[in-house]
Amino acid sequence: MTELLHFEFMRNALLAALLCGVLCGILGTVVVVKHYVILAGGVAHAAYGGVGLALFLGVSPQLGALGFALAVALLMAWIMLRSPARSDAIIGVLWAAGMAAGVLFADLTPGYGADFMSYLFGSILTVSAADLRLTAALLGLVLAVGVRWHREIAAFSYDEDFARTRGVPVTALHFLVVALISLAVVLTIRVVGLILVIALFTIPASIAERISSTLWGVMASASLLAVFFSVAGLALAVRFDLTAGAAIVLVAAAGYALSLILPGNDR
Amino acid sequence: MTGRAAPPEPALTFEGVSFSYGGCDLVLSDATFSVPEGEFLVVIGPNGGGKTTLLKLALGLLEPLAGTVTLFGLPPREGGRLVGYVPQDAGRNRDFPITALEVVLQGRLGRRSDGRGWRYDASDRDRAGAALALMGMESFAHRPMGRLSQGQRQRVLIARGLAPDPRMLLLDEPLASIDQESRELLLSKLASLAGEKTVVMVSHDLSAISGHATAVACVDRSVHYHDSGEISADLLEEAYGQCPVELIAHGIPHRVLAVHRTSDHD
Repeated sequence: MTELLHFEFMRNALLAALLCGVLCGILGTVVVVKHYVILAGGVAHAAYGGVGLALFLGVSPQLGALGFALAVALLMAWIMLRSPARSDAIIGVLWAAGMAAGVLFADLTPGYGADFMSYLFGSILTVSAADLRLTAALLGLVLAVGVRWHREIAAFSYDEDFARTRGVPVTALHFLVVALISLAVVLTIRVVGLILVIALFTIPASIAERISSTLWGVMASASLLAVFFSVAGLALAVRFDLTAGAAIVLVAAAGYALSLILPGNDR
Repeated sequence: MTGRAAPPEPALTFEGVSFSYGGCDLVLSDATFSVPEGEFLVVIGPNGGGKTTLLKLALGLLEPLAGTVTLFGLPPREGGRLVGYVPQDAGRNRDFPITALEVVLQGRLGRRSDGRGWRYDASDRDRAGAALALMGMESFAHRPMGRLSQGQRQRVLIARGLAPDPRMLLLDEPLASIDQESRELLLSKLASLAGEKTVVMVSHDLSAISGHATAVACVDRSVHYHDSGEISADLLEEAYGQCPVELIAHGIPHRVLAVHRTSDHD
């Protein structure tokens, strides 16, 4: 199977699995400990509206998805601050409305069926060099922010009220973290598709929580796990001619089931 | 900050403070009181009476609808750094991957000297270790929070409040749901801090009043403040009249149970 690495699309696919795996490990840990799962799912589906709008207008669907997802995510972040008790319901509305907009734009834009499908189910084997550069840039930004403000991010994640009393800019961090998550979600959609993307943001971090007892340890373990699941799923998909996104998610789910059986950091 | 030479500002003042959540009924109405430095103030009152709201107003986590709050003469957002906050441990975050020491280190954030750093330094670690030791938790420093008992977690949260070496400690129900033995230990530790620091503690546990408190505030929408001279039969009489809580305290020459009006049970 190694001879496949002579093909550029295969090298790109592996690089995408690596970069997105690390992104999902780091930001997925935040998604899990901050209970942002519905936000991440909402952003992923609403991003479809951006894909549709971009194809309808004839611009790059990737940029459309990124811009649309970022705008929707910041709106969701604002709603979470304004009415925390009802934010999950409102995010649910945005989730469906964004998706529906994408479907209608697809109706109005015939001839792009393959593009729409690649966002729904992912197409890791067609990842472009431009996608990879964008993903690498985002990973660089996430690492820089994470290293510089790791103390503030930990305090904000653990106890917002206390962090606020210590002068941590909690509101700014909330928007920053949500913005980074939304961009990472859209870039990971290339790998597994928008329907399945939530798996890579929750499964590795959930397993890692049982292995490690510090936030940074969980992020590192979750990154390794996400990379492993992605590469293993990709290998299975190529070997047996399966849909890569679904293979990756099922490998991850199997890993999750296994982690529940094995003795862990019992908490 | 002008230092200790200036005439002593009260540690905490409320002046005509009112608050409501989202424009409904007032949770706190025209609260006015002043806590001198070194006081051990216990805040009592019925559930929903506004005790936690009062603490959050003091910390600047909530903005009053009317009136002003000061901490050491400063608005809460500035004075807040002189205060160690110990929130109620609702067990909400029990699964969070973090060790006791890392929790306590969070108390080292936001000091004035901390402007440019991006890591905890040796003195942060020393202070955090000392705060853990003060609460008898030094041997649990590297234990995940999720594997500590509730009483142990509470002591870690108090150590976090102490880590910045604050001039005042604000505690929300630190005695709730911990066993009697830890409760006595905790109370005597807090009492030994008072004097050197101002301690404001929200509590259901009235044994806190008898042995240790130097002042009591009864919060039930309004605030009734009683300083040391009043902690006696007078206080209990007033509490009896204005605070619908049961009062049983040792070390006070009376034992008083507030009468629940029969309408409360309908």
